[in-house]
Amino acid sequence: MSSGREPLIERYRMFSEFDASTLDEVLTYSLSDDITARGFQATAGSEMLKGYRPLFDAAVVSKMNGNHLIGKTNMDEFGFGMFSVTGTGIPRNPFDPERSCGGSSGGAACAAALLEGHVALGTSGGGSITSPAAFCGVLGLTPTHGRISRYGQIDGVSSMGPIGILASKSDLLRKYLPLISGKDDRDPVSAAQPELRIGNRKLKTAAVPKGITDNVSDSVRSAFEDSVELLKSMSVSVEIVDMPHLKYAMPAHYVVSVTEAATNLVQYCGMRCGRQDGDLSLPFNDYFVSFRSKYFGTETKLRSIMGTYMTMGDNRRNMYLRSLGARNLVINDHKRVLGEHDVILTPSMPFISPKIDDAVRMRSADSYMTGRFAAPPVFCGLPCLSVPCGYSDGMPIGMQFISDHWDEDILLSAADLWEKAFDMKTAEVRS
Amino acid sequence: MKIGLEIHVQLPTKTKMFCSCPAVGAAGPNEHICPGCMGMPGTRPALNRAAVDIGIKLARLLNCSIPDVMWFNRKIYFYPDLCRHYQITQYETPVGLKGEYYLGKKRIGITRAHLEEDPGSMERSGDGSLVDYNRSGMPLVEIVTDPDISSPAEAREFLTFLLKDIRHVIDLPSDGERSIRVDCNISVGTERCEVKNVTGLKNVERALTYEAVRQTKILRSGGRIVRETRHYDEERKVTTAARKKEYEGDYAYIGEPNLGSINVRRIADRIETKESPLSMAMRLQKEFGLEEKAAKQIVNTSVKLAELFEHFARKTGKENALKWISGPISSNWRSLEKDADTKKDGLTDIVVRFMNGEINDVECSMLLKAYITGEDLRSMEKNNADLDALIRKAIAGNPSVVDDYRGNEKAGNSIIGTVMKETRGAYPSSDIVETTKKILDEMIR
Amino acid sequence: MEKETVKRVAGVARIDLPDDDLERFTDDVNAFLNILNALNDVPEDDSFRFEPIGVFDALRDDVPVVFENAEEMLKCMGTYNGFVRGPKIV
Repeated sequence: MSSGREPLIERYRMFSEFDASTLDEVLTYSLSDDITARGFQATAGSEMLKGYRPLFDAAVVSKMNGNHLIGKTNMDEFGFGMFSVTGTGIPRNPFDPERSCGGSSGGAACAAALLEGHVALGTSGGGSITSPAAFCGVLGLTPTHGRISRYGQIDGVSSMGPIGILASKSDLLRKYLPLISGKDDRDPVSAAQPELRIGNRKLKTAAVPKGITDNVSDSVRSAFEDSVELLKSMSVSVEIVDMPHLKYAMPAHYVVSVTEAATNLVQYCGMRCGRQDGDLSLPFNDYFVSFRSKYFGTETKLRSIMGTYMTMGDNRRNMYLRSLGARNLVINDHKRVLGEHDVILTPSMPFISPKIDDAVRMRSADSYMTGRFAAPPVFCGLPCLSVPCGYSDGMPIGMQFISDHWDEDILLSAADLWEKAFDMKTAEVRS
Repeated sequence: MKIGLEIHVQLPTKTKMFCSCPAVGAAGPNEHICPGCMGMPGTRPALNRAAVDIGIKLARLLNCSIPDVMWFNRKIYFYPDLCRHYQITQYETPVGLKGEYYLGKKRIGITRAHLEEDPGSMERSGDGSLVDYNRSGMPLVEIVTDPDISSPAEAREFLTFLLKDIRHVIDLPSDGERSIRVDCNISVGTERCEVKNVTGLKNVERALTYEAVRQTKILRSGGRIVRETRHYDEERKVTTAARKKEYEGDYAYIGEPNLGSINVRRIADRIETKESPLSMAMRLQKEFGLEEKAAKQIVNTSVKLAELFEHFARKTGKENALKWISGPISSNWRSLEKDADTKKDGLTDIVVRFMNGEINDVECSMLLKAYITGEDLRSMEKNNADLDALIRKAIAGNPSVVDDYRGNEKAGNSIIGTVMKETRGAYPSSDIVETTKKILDEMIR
Repeated sequence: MEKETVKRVAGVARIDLPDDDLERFTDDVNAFLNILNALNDVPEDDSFRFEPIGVFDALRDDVPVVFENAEEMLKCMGTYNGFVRGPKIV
């Protein structure tokens, strides 16, 4: 064993019981805590699910057979958050431990940033891979909804929220995406996919939505603009495009995601799995209320309430169904642009990672709106890739590539291209 | 009086609706369960093809229109027997919409028929409840009728015929493992009550009758009917008001995003549906000019007998078909039933010989019977001659029977009884009955 | 939205909000309702669907598979004579 690997093995110790020194080649993976694996607790970041040990492996775990699963990573409760501060543990940013990892798959991005050769699988119901990838300075690939079987994934939302890959090198994305994608009878949505074809198509054209850098921080704007120039210098033609319905994406995504979330959350009532330490002599309604009031975090309660409200009375038509209609408009906007361009480019997040204390104090609505670049593609089921594209105050800044449904190929090409052109920094572990 | 029914039919699939657990045959509670039908976080529903096919067949039986595309919805209710606390059901796009069912001339509108999953079953126990999730995820079709039924008796009659049709069309075994449950909506005045979860036809009629009387009494005494859900107490034979649920009606249906959509019209085009007994009886009346009673009698004996009738009618004409089907073929149906398909041409050949005058009707009758039972014709002839003699002897011993028989056919029963006793099972009872009648009929002519 | 409504909707969601929390939740709810106003001018359209990619006819064959670990699964719950114990039904 070469001495150059000692620091890496040390880093593994920070993450798990797993002894990396036993391996000739350190190739390991982790799961965000909403993906099941036999023998591991799966809480999806929720106190409610403490003690839940599923008796089945997620589809991705079966497909990763032969690789070493070293553990589960922290996340926002049921994926509800952009900074990984609503779950059972708060991961710290590898570039600055006082700052957030982003979220909801924050722990996954942290592991990907610190562990060389590590593949962190996370999930994204609304930008939850792009956000932490940007804040932790790693690559984050969110595939098309349905590309990877979601069997074994605990649903926060349902009509979106694919499993994706966070890693520090593009060859890891290239190696592991084909390994874990494919149809699975246990997830009907995965049956919709055409075969994943990797043809190394060259990235030629990109579109930037008009006004996309309005209201982002100066450092993000200048990093994004520099990156666009860098792409142009690599003979990628970049055009500004109009996407008139993009303004509906965030409100409509919120309505659809909280509505689905509210129905996914109704099952958590102190029966069958997770917390069950209640008084069974209570009438069932009181029994259920006691668990939901005690073990759900604030953000989860808020989404349950909002989601319930969105289908009550006239809201079902005016909010829920209308938002589903708006989703079609937003999808069509993207499809129209992607019919003429290989990718759409946006910043990943509007600013660099905030201090954890500030993230905790942030109002839910403000926190939600920080996902305004990261959430729309996921809402549309479109694949996207976040890459580091600059640094400010030592903190990474991310840029996002969005491609058409099922076209992960062009994103892998973009990752390769970008990795060659841009000098990515490795996080120094500070104590 | 207006009555509308919601009929829940458990479908005869091998597996549950959204997981591969066996649908029947559990020896004890919670034996046929898996993480899927237990709603364990991380599992996903996967729709059973057979449930869709059966749903289509029922929609057709009820003359419903089938949508081009259908999907599923989540309907929330909090109860310990429902694992996900939402039921996967159909809201906007039921597999069958706006159908109708004819009870004789009476039309009963069908509002909709939709696919959904059953929850588990539970009972009270000392300080809490005990739940068995074997039933959780069983596929159901819920049939909702318009409020077109006008009496409890009619409701029972409707259900009797409907269930017979359903059993035939979807091959629903009557082994008792799969249940049929009915929610009964009834209004005597303008406001209605719903009696939930009634099992068994008799109970449906009883519950509705009790409700009709209860509502009538209230209205007569100047009271007002309160819209409510009630339960039927099978032991006390009364309906009682169910506890009002605090938040009922506050939850709406949302889409089920994990199942996608089904091109159900396209699937329906590939599925052949068996004709229901009732519509077959109606068709026989129309096509062959049969009396309603005769048509129903044939179909009710067996749909296969009715199919044989059709075969006869085409080859030998309606009169001969009726004569021989309701005569020797009906009386030997039990022996014929399983060979009906292979023997049908042989049977019509015999009748054609009769039509050509090659044999008389006694010979024809005997040939048919011999062909059906495989008995030797000569010994049959001898047997028949012996039986003939025995019956004539019995009549001679009790000559007043002939006069009595003129007034009342039942008088022949004493002769039949005597001969049966004497022959101790040597002859099939149907033969004794038939021959006795034949002889007595000759005597009084 | 008024505090009372928030409390009632929370009740429908089977969540009990103590009065101390109610103010904060009401603020949060209203901040979101503000954002959702942008949906008012979305054109009415009945051609909604529930997932973004178009999933059709994903059906499973009707072949039984017995889950071998039913007993182990039940060990994680309170049971009595093979039944799962639940709260009181009224």
